Amino acid sequence: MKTSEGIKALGLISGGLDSTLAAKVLMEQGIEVHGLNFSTGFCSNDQRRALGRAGEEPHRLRNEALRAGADLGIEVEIVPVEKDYFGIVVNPKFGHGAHMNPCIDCRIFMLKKAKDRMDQVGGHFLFTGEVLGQRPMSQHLAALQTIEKEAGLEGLLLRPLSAHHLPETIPEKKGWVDRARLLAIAGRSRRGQLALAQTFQIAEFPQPSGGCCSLTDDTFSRRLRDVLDHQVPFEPGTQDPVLLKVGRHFRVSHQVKLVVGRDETENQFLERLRRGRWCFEVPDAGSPLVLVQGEPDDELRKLIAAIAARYSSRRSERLVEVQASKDERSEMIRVAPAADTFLEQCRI
Amino acid sequence: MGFFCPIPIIKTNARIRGMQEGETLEVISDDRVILVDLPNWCRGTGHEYLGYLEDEREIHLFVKKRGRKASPSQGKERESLK
Repeated sequence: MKTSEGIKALGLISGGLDSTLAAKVLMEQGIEVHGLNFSTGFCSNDQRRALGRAGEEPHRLRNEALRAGADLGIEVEIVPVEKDYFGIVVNPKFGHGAHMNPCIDCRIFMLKKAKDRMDQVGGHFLFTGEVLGQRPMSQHLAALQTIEKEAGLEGLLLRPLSAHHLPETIPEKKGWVDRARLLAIAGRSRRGQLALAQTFQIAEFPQPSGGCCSLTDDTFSRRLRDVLDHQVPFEPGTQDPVLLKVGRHFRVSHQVKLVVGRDETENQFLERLRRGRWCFEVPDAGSPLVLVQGEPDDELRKLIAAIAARYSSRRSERLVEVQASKDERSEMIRVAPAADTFLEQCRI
Repeated sequence: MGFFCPIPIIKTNARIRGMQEGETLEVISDDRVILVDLPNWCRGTGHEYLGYLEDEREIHLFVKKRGRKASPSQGKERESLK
């Protein structure tokens, strides 16, 4: 008797090869699959899109989860979780990885949300594309078990790619899923997945690159840590995370930091955020736009002007005129370009 | 307008849920990647992607609500209505 009929599984679909294969393995058994993709606000692909760099090929910036859903012929529902998610970024129960990435808490968070969705839509179990031993922090056996337990999903979370290395789950025990047709992939090699992709004729998938999470990026994490340490207003799901990806960042006092655009696209992005903020630029020269967060006094404005001059085309001149403006207010400041040794002291 | 992925898709999904089958939704965006994402979303959900029109920076995309799953090939190609 076919017991998979009418059985619905919800899975975390990133659009990468592993989650695509996990979905496909279940679909081959007649399971109805519904994909979930959580929008955390820290996807570097989304941030690149928000920056709007001219000439970027749209296909390179597409949402891979939606592309995977299209290729599989299943709905992938994008769920916005930015504000809730930020809580675990700031204070993860299981700590951060090498940078600001709270990998274990992230999985628990997403699986809890997925469980809620499963209950809403009448799903029977959850699945992920996790592979035992693939990632050092979140995919070793103890971590997989912790994640399952903390998410309140004991027995209801199937990892089809590594199922033979893991205890039998409820969907297998009940006969919804044939354990014999699940897999025994483990470790960091991609050979098993690539062979399976060939079997299923899955040709299109992004190359594995450790994911597109900005929180695993050294520079982004350092800037986010600075934001938290100095209580800079920060709202996930807005342009604030994008700003951490843009330009050169310098902290010139506890209350004041600045972002220096590196090219025309970044200057245009900063321009959109200038309302209510001080901005500095060198008129009639190749100049970055320098956006200030916080309220600089007279001395700090001179310092920021010197930094703007340093990154302008007049950097080799002894004195440079810099325009500082905030809304209707504007002033000219004549300064010597900042020395590189000083810049290194305040670079974030 | 002014929103970037995945917000336009989230908004589209929310809006289309309240519509009747056969009704058409017009999505207006200035994010060019939506020309890839919206057809993909339609292929996954089974809604019918009808194509798009461009008006300077604005892109107007049209989706007909469908109640059943479409084949994976539906809406695969981008199609301008011009």
